[in-house]
Amino acid sequence: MVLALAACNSASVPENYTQLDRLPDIYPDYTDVTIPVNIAPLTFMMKQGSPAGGEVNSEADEMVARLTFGNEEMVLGGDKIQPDVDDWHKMLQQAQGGDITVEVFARQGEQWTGYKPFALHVSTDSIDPWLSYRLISPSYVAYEELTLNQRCLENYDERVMVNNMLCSTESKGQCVNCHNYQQYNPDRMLFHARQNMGGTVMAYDGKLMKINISGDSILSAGVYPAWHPWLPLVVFSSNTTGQSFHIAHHNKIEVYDLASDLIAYDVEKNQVTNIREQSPTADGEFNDSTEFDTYPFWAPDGKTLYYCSAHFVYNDSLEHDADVISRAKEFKYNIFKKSFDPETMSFGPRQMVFNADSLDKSAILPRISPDGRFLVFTLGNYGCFHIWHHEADLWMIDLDSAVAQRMEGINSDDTESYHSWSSNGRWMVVSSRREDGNYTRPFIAHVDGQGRCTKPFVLPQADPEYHRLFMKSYNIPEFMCGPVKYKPQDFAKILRKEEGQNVLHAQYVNRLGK
Amino acid sequence: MKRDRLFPILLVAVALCVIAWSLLAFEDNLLWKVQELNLHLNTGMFFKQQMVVAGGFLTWLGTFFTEFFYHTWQGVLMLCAWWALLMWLSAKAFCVKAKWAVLMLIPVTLLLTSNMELGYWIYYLKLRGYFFVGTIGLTVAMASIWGYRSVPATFRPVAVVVAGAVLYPLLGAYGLLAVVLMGLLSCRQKDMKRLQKAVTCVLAVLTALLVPVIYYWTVYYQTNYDYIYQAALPVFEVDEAYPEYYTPFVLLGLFYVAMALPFPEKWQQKAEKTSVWAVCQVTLLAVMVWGVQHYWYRDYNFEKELEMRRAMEQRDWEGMLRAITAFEDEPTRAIVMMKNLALFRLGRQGDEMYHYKTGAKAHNAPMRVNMTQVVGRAIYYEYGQANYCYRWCLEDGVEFGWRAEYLKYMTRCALVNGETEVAKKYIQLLKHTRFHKEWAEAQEQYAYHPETMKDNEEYAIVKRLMMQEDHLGSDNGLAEMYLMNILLDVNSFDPLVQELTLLSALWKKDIGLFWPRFFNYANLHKGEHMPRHYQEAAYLYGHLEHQVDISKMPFDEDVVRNYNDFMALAQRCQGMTEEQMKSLFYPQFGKTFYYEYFLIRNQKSN
Repeated sequence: MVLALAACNSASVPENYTQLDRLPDIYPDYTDVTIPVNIAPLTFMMKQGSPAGGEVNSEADEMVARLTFGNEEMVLGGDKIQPDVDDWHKMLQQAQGGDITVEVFARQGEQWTGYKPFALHVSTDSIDPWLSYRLISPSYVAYEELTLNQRCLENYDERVMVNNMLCSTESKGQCVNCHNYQQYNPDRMLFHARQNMGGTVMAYDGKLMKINISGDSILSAGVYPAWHPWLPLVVFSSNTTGQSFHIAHHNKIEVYDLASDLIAYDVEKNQVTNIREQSPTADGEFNDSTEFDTYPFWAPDGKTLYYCSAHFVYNDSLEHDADVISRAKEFKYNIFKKSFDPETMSFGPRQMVFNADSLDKSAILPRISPDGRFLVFTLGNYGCFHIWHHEADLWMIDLDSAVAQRMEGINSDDTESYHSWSSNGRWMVVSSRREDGNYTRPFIAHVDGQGRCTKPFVLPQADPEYHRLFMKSYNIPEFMCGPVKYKPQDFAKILRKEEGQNVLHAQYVNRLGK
Repeated sequence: MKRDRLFPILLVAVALCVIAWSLLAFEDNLLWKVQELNLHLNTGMFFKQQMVVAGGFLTWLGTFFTEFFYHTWQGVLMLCAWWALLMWLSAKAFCVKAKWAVLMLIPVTLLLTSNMELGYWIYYLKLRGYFFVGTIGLTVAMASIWGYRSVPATFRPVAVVVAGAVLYPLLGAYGLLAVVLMGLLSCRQKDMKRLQKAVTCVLAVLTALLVPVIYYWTVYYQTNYDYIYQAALPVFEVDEAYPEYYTPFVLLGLFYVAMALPFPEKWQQKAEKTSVWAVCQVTLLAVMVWGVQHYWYRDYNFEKELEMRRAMEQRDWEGMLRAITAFEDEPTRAIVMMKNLALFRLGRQGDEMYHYKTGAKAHNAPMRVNMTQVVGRAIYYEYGQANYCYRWCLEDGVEFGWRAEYLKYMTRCALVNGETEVAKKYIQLLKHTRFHKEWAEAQEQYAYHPETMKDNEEYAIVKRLMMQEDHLGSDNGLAEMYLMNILLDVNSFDPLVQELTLLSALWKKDIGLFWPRFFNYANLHKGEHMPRHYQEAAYLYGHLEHQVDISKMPFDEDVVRNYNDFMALAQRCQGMTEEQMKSLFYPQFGKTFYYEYFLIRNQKSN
């Protein structure tokens, strides 16, 4: 029985066409990708092209796509292919574990062309239904509107969680960043607001708080956060950050740290603690000003804290800023770990996990798979801000075998940087600039039990042209098991009305208060 | 039509024609620039992006009509058509007799003033479609009020609330004004009972107060609570507020409130008298003419900057120089930079760069104006600093909103940088505009076939000028200083780049840097005549510091004569102040490097 799923229009496959033995040049490139069984419809259109030395062609006057799985068929047409959400999900349910075959036909003038069919591999592994990210223009210093958004991956529902404009005035802007969740739980989340009405906003089991994580004993307010998997504990890096601009290089901008440390924040005690290094210096003092610790991340068992650290000794004759700028390429971050005993709340000494320096590289953003087996990080040539480094790629360490290798399949010729595991460990979202080298888009790839990745696909949108026209970058994509319930106005209210709780400080210990 | 009705209408029509003519005759470059700093995309995404704030529909329409200033006459025609419609609808809304049509010129005058008082604000205003937003907002508000009057009296209280709920999202503050005016207007509606009038008035005020609050909590997530009543109004604030620029908007509000209020019978009877009527007409016209003339921003440098910038966009280097021939004022650094660029591109900077007035006049604006916002992006690009041009396009696009000019420069920078994929993105965006589409399509071939850029004069020369060596730094918004300083470190055997390094040494007045660059220039231009200003510098530096033997150099006679005359005059002027010397030396030596070296100092770059 041929079940023709109700397509949104009365498209039909052309009777006469020229068949080509190549894949269609579609945008976004969804050819032969592996997709979760619950993903929103993949929409696409024909890409513009230009034969060598020839005129630039328009996309296509019209196109038709036939999606087939077994006896089921969906025929869609128009200038873009945009499957109906319900029809799409019906087909995906039927096709899970199998392939949907997609045939594409395009018309230029009166001439129809048929292309080699491609497959959509429908995985039985579902993906967390929500993804959150910050939308930010890839600007340098200026910012105006910044939002933290959450997007339902099963359809196109996108909601603004936080909008800085609600707390910004013409002369006093506000920046929002670093949203983070405890174990994908939208009821336990935090983000930072900087400058006007700034503070760290934390939602914790129905309670909304604004806290001021700052003080003389720490470098700056908390920056990159990592929730402990179950304790009411967040480890942050505390960074003094600077920027400088390339005069000719395509990387355009360098973001660097002038100093960075790790701090721990106890949510229930409202207490922040500097996490010190174990080894004292020659004079017996703990001095970690030459160690730049950043990007903390907890292992899923909550017994190991991973982080990155670079060793850098300032030249006393130069201003720190000038010194860092002139020696920016000397910053090589390695990955370390510290054991953590949740019973005694104490950290062990640091241990090297990945020595990027020995490869003349810099490793940042360690992220452990939920089963604890794989550690994925971003490797670039130097520094701690690889989103501006075109060479940056994802690497994976199999913690069972301690073998590290570049992740085949997920990387591109351009930047791959921030990445997150889905809660079932079968999907990874990565911030990639592969489309145009400048605007970050979230790409999703399947990762199997052996750490093998499939070709990633860009976050689907209702209009396939969306990513091409959208002038903002997707920053810090994080999976969530549900949406954050608070509205932007709720967050704005607490930021506007509250001074923020000042945290208590405990200085330089390797044992947190029990 | 009776004469007393025909005459005022004719008067209004003539006034509109005069306004249109004035705009076309005096503000052609400004209006062209306004559309360059505008962006309207015919995409669903663009529409949705505008609609996330109250009054977003107005900005969508505003940007749409602003596009037409690309052909200035089209934009002016549309603006005047909107004003004609506004006048007609205002008259209908408030039952103004044709005899008093001149009254309807008041809002047009105020709107014209609000547009023409801007000056450098065109670079800093964040309200998109500003030139049309007020006009369209008031026009739709007037249409709504006219419609409201035709609603049966019983339903008017409800109509006020509905109008608030519908008009606020569409028109922002103009919608709230319409609601308030509806309330006030009910006071003079003869078909309404006293209670109905009172209820309508109260409801209008409550609606105007509460609707923005309700929308804040339920619909819009992008407008600060402090600004909910100012939606779709401009914000004249850069670091600090400049409230004087709100005057036309305040007066517009007051005017319409006055129109809505009941007019005492006695005054009406008096106003019917021909003499009173005539005096009123003349007085009103005189005040309006004075007001427009007084608040219309005129600044010689601003106008010249616009003229040069437009010529630069058309790569009309001679046109840029024509604009500043016989310059009547001290120029801004932006003008000096554009002049130098034009001469450089014509290969005449070494001979003529001191033939034009120099200076560093501050921009005539209440706020600090940075060159990067005025011409810095273009200057960076033309001198091959694609990264910095791109950076400022992005920074300003983020802060002030995306504009066609920024997208065009980002396209160019991406192309010369070899970033063809992102160039295609900007091209795609520009293809969704009405008037920049053609330009965008012309760039497509370079995105798909970058090898053809060598045949494009613009791209070929910019690519030649691009920096070969990378380093990190920041311009801190000071385009001229940064550009000149980075050139000081460059060593190149490309005659074009090498000449720039020589020019930067002249700019810096650094003798040590000058000599190697001078000799390099001489080597690269063997057999050619040494440009006059380079000779002057060599002759002067040779005498100031005897590091280099200049005795065998073939200097032009007038170079030597000018130097000797300059020094002789300088001997006679001992004891004079620098300002006194400047006026004395300028007629004879103003076009020489000697004058530049000794008497031009502390040119504050911005």
